[in-house]
Amino acid sequence: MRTKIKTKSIALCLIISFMLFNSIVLVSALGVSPVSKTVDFEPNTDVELTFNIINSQRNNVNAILTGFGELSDMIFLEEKTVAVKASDDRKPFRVILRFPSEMEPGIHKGGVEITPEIPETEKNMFLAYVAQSLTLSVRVPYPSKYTIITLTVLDVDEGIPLPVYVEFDNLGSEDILKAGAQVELYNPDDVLIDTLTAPEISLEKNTLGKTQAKSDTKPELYLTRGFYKAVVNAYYDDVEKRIDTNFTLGIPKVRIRELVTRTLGVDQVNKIMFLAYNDWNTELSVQGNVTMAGRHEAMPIFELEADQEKEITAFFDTTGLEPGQYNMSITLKYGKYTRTETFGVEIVKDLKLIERAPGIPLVAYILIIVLIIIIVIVAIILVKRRKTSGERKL
Amino acid sequence: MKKSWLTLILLSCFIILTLVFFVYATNDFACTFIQSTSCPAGTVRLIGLENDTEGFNNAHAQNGSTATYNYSVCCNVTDNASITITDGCPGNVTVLKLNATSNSHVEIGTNTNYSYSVCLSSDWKHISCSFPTGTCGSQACVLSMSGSEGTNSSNAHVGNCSAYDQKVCCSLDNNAPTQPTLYHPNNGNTTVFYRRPNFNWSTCTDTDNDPVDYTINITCGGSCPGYCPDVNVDSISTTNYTLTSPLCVDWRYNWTVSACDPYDLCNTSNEFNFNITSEAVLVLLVNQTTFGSLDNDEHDNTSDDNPAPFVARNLGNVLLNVTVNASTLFISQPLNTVYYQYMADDNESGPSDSFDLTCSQTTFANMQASAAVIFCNMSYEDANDEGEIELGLTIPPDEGAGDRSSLIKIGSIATEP
Repeated sequence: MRTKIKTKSIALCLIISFMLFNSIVLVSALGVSPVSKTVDFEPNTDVELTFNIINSQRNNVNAILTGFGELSDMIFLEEKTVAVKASDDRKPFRVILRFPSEMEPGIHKGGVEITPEIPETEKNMFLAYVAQSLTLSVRVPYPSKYTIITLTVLDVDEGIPLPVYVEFDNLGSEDILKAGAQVELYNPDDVLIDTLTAPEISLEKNTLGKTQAKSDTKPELYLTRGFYKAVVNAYYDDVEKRIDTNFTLGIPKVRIRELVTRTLGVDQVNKIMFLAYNDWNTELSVQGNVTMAGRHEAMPIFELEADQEKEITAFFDTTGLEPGQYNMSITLKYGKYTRTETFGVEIVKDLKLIERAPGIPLVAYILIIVLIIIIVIVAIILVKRRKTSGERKL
Repeated sequence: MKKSWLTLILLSCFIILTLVFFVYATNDFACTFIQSTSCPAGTVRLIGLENDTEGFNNAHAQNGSTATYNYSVCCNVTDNASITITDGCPGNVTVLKLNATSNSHVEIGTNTNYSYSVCLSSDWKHISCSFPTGTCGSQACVLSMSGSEGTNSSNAHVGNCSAYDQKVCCSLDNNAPTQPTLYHPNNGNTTVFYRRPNFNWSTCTDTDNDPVDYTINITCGGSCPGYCPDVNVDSISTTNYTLTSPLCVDWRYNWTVSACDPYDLCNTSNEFNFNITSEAVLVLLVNQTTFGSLDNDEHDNTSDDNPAPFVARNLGNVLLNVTVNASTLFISQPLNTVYYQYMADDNESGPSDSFDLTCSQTTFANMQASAAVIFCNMSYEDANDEGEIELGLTIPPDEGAGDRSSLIKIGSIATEP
């Protein structure tokens, strides 16, 4: 009887162990909330912060917490391993920041990584797990007056006034009585578009303030999509700072305005010609490919200047494809963007190349017309002269 | 003594002028008695009136369109010529009722004994009338009436405002819609997850039966960064609104709704505040794969989905930088060689364009022991929140036979706020 119970217990333990093993192995989601916290430096004090582990997949997991970054020496964890149960949607944990007597002025960053406890992997397996991190920032004020200045331009649709903000993050030990800025906006060719003025604001120490810069010449500032440069000439109390930065509005776009080649010959390498247009204000380097019937053919990289339309040639081998109607996709990649457009094309047996007859240049036409006019005028003059001389004879 | 008298006189003048201005400002609608069968341009003839001696007190009335009586009551808005007053019925209000179109006794507009209504309307705001005895208060006096059979409010003769006690008083009015009550996000809510929350509030009514629209105002305050702009959307016809641009996380937002009528008279709700608490949650939809048997120098990768790549999804509400590093795979070759590689890819069978291609690893790179970014600024938007982690293997020429495994750590850290 006793042996039977023991056998049953071992079996149960094995089943539970197997279930636990599987549940731990399959931990593939971890989260944290909030994702960051910023605290002010207070010498020789402890700051206690609470975060939550998010167990979105409701697993049983032992989460191991590890401090990292330049704050790692100050990070103390109440529990280094947090047992998260399947019933826990969220599991709170505490992080203690133990500040020393002094720190260098500035913003110091560190964090805590949350890693699930993972057993040995199987022998022929690639197994991935998630390690989620949170960020901690400590603000240590600079002596006297000091601000971090940032230009923020919101990415709005064309036709909407452009919101431009100058932000002052007062990281000094004193209040700022007045902070303002002049902003110069330039196009990619360094041509000044407009100047803006950000009205003065005041800032208490350790606060962030923003002031909206408005055009000096127009009631509202409108810009089209594109890349722009900005120079911020900012000041706060007696300090002046210049910041050179840039920003984009919208995303670059290369349009295929027309697919010139609509008919392809069977069993041959076909030239595919199309008109590409760069709807952006800087040059773009474009690579791409032509896809039809599951086949991909890469095309040579080409450059398009700002607002330029260009005829592009790609090639596509139709060997083995039956004559008929097909959908041809042209995918263009430029920077981080991809654009695919699909066109209906036909593969035919006998591709007749309709070549335009060698045309007479327009200049030649004009010269011929001018020549005819001159001949006519000369003829009229000659006839008139002959008539005049005849009259005299009479 | 003389000086104090002067001060008193000046003070009295100031008070009188202020009162005159106030009365004038609140009585922009006016009706006047004119000795004519018609009214001047820009005014409307409410009624005509005449007594037995061809005077205007103790008079019988005729409707506005019957232009035979010597006196007319003409109405207009005195301080704004662009507002047109008309006399069509039912109009905004029934001012009087007549028992005949001419040579008629009158009764106040709210009585029901007579069948010929005299009405007023305005194309801006509304005319409303009251029928007090005594004075008109803030309304303009139109006329007064008196009856001979015990009641002044019916079967009565008409006179100017100083003639009788029973007054007919009207004004150009507008009432604001009722105050909206905010529902969601409720006040002090810190568990809002979606960056584009749905805001909803109560339906508001307008006592003038004017159509009501709503303006939502969401503010983050002066200390909020510039990339968290305030939101102000007007002309919302429904009692809910979903933002088109995401709000910032971990900032306190205040929100109000104003219910407005077409005359821009609004009633604003109490202010609520809420906070969208940031959450970073990365899920691996596929977190294990196997390449089967491969020979020396043979190459295989997961970009054709055979074997399956890992699939990562951002289930939180912030942009993520996702990193990758792994344990050593081969015996004959260390990490950071071409034999074991990784790259970021779109999930062809799911959402795409989920990460910033300029800073993500979109070509095969050598797997390392230390973390390297694979997905940069991975989106949390449902329509594009997935990416594939492709693995590429080339079996080293001198690698011996046997099972191989690797444990891959997918790190995740928020890139905002």
